[in-house]
Amino acid sequence: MDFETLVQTRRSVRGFKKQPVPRTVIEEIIEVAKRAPSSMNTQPWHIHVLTGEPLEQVRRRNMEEMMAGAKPKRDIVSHGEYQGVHRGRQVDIAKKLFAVMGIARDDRPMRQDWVLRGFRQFDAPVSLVLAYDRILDPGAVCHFDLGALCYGIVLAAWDRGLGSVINGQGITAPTSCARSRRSPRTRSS
Amino acid sequence: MREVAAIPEDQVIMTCVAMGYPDDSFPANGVRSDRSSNDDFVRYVGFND
Repeated sequence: MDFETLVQTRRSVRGFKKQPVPRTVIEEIIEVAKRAPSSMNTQPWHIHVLTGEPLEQVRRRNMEEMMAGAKPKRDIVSHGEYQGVHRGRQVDIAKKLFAVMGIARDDRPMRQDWVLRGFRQFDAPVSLVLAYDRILDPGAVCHFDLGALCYGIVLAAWDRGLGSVINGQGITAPTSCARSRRSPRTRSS
Repeated sequence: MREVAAIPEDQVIMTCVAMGYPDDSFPANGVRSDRSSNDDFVRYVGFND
């Protein structure tokens, strides 16, 4: 696919066939994506590619923790809720997705189901977990570099007939807050 | 995730990319998100045209 067609046709994919993805295809994608520029050619990234039973195990544990009321938690420091124009765009894409999925605004169980799909990484057969060397924290520059790598991954996948979605939810709840949570009284004593 | 995939503590997990062959019957896969008009976020400085 020529570059413009590749970029203009790419969409986030949130529904996948069960069909496994051969490791050789993932290797090709990473071979292309790693040509991404990075600050001073530091190449600060690590990629952990999960499939099969380990990925199922991550999903199961994330689900258990979400059901137990664990607060999603990420390694990287994140902004709070989106506001203003950013919030507007977030709502706009959510409306579009819910409309085609037939999820009504007041249908709480279906909306909850959609959120949980996100935490299950949309049941994708493969997950590429992007990480960087902790020594680079607080990380703004290497975050930028990982963004470049990430878009390369997404485009190289699309070029090979593979869909993907960049999914921060799938890596949340690293260890259960619920399991280790103490009551406020215990904590203050 | 860290525990299951044995990701070392000296690495920070940034995000993940969920990937697979698209299920064309899944409606959300047809959604292409909008982009703002360039006028909303681009300025040109020093151009003559």
